[in-house]
Amino acid sequence: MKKHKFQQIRVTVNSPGEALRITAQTDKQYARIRGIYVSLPQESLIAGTMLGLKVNNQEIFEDLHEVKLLTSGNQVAPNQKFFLFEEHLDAAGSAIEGRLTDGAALETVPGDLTPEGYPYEAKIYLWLSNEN
Amino acid sequence: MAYISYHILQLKVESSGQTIHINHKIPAYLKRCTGFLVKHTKGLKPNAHLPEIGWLNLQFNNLNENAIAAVVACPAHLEVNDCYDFQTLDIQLKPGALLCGIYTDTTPISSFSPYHISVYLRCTSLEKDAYNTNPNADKEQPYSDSFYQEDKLC
Repeated sequence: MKKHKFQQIRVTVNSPGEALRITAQTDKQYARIRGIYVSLPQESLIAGTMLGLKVNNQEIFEDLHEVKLLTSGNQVAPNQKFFLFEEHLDAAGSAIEGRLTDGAALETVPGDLTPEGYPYEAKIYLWLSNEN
Repeated sequence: MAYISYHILQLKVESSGQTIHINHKIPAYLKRCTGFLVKHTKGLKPNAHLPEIGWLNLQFNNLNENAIAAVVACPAHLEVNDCYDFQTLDIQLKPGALLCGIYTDTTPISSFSPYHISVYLRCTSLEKDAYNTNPNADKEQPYSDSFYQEDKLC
């Protein structure tokens, strides 16, 4: 069996400023969550976007935690993109809860037009591992 | 079990030159503060990097420890080459003590629009030496530790 897995959580954001609840469960075959990486389709969507995260009801990131601190651009090598957790976080079927808040200001939306870039899909990658 | 918590203090600046007084209670379960990061969150969209948009002063433990005096900068709009490193702190937090201080806006008037800044406090719920919260303890980095491992966003 492989020692690592990159589990993906997808969230569809339909409108600027939208806040979405996330619920998921980690793969039972992997013991710990090694890191996290958040991917948004455009750089312009990152500013102000926030992600709160709880694992087994324990708060890892507050709801105000910026996605900008959990992502990286193309200039970063693929195997260095992840934010690594410094402590042991149990995976093995842990309950993941979160809240993704889009960073765009609601008042910037002109009329009823669908603003550029929406809807989009945010992808949250969890690096699961069986290594210590 | 999560030992490390990133406690966030968000400040909203609504007028040029505004001074914001901070009196904030850090949750009592947090025992130590091991680092901090101050950054502009949203609001300003400068064409070029602004090296100074304000000054932050913070005192821990009911004004007993003057730990943070920092300039806050703002990268250019859509800039991707910015680095975020936590500045190392080592402060024993007294349960229920207040975090006090001020933030003073110094944004050039031509660039000003209402904005938010966030103060990230990397805290731990364990006493000193119970857990090594410094990811780069083995490296020779006396003034800052690389929160983003290597060159994230650089």
